Amino acid sequence: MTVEEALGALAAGQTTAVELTTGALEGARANANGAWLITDGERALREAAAIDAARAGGREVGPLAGIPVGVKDLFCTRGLATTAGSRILEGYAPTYDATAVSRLRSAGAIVVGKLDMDEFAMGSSTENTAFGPVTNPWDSARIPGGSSGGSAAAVSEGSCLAALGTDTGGSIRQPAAMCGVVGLKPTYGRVSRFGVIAFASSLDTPGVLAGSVRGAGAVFSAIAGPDPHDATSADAAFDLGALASGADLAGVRLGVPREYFPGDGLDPDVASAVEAAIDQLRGLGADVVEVELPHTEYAIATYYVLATAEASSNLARFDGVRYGRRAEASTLDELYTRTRGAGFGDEVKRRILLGTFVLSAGYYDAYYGRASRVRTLIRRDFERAFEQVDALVTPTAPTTAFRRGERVDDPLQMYLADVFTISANLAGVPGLSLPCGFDTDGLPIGLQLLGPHLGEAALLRVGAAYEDATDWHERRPPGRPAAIERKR
Amino acid sequence: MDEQVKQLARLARLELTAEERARIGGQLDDILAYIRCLEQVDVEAIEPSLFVGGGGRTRPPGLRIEGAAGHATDDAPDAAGGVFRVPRVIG
Repeated sequence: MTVEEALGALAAGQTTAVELTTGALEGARANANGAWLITDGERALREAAAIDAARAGGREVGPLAGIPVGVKDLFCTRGLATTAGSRILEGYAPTYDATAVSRLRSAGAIVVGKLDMDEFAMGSSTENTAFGPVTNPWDSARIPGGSSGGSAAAVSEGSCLAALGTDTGGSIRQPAAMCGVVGLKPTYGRVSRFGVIAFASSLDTPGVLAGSVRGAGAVFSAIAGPDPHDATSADAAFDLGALASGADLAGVRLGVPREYFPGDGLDPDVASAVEAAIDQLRGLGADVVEVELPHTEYAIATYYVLATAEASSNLARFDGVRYGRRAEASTLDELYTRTRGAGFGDEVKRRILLGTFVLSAGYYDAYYGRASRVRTLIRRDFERAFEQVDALVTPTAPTTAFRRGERVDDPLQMYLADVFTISANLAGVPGLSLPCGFDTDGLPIGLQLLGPHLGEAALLRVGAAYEDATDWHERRPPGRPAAIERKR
Repeated sequence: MDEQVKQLARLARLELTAEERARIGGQLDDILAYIRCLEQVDVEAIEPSLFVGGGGRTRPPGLRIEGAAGHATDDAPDAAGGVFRVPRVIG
């Protein structure tokens, strides 16, 4: 069931918010893929009952009234444990909701619980979690992608209809692709970062995972817009309106960046599925042309300088004084070093050290300074491309879901999983990943659409037209009927 | 590299075991070797991009986080009387 189908069934009286929420909680508690860290069942059912009563009484309800959602554990939730996947935040229960969470609640969505993730959103496989691992619903020997792997797995297994995620270098789009769901990374600033535990502040972008493009659009509409608590939030509200069904793409110009189809490093099954999708978009009326993004090959290196620099500064706040865990120590300095040494996992330590290095005296200009300038060149590549086309079409990830454990000892190989998603974060532009096929092992493949700043509406229109013409998003993982659908 | 990792860990207030230093040090070498591909890019006369979004507004005066007032120390591992407690700093 998709968000829009559930809204239709709720409005028609064919189901209730309590019924949907009960189904979601059953799925979350069964936790077949380890996606859920904690559920908030009592509150969820209480709010669902209130929505059913409001609807029955003819009172106005919010645009997402009765839709069960999950929330990546990077978003602060008032009174509900928030760990960011880290031991260092064990026992932390925030005193306020992140703006995206409070907007979801205001829209009537039911927050079922919190979802596992790579520690502080640093990872591409959801193996870097203190509380994992999370498995891929399509094959439990495989990773779900990351860092929003819990969000992707939960939507894929059907234990919620949509989930909040965050995307700093691909962390919504890549797991969405690997779990066969839709992932929307909005324009930087389009969704407030207030209450989202910071990783790399100039790149962090909260967004949505859902079972359909229209569903992702509906949730995005509810959470987007300026926020006085976030000075970097864009002054641009978003109203998706209705996306026509069966629309064609006449007059839409799509660009295919040739750098995203390298001779090596791109799985042949992924390449052929994406090429078939491009043919289908052309068949729907779009004009497809080749474009160039010449600095793409420098994106990963640029990202790992800038993101780690920002992380080393942001994560200084985890010092054992204000929240979370504290190690035994007799001096203040010992308290900091021991708490951080015991509380952070390997990948977080690696990135803090790398970030400390690239910001240190004598190296700053050669690394951070240079990477900030390369970022300008990457941003300009996109600006030039969007003078010619309305959106870009690429694979979301170079491979389908890899096996658990395969890359944990080789961080550089892990970073390469984000090769097609990272540039959008550096440029601040929006991206949408949607299912476009399966490989020979039956694992889902993602198609990525990238748009100009504030260009989400065009991405959602193209995505919805593609979705109407295909049935990839309707396929479910084998042998695991969705909890929510079982209730119908 | 070991001395450099020790120095970075000290700057970052991060306790590492000798085994962690050796392992992470080797990985940092590989990652830095990869990052050096940026040296091939001509960045002469290119302005840095520190932020890529709009925004940039100032926070309105008097803005409060609803419900959070008076709860700053609620999650602290050690607090008393509304202040955080840490090991003695001054003899």
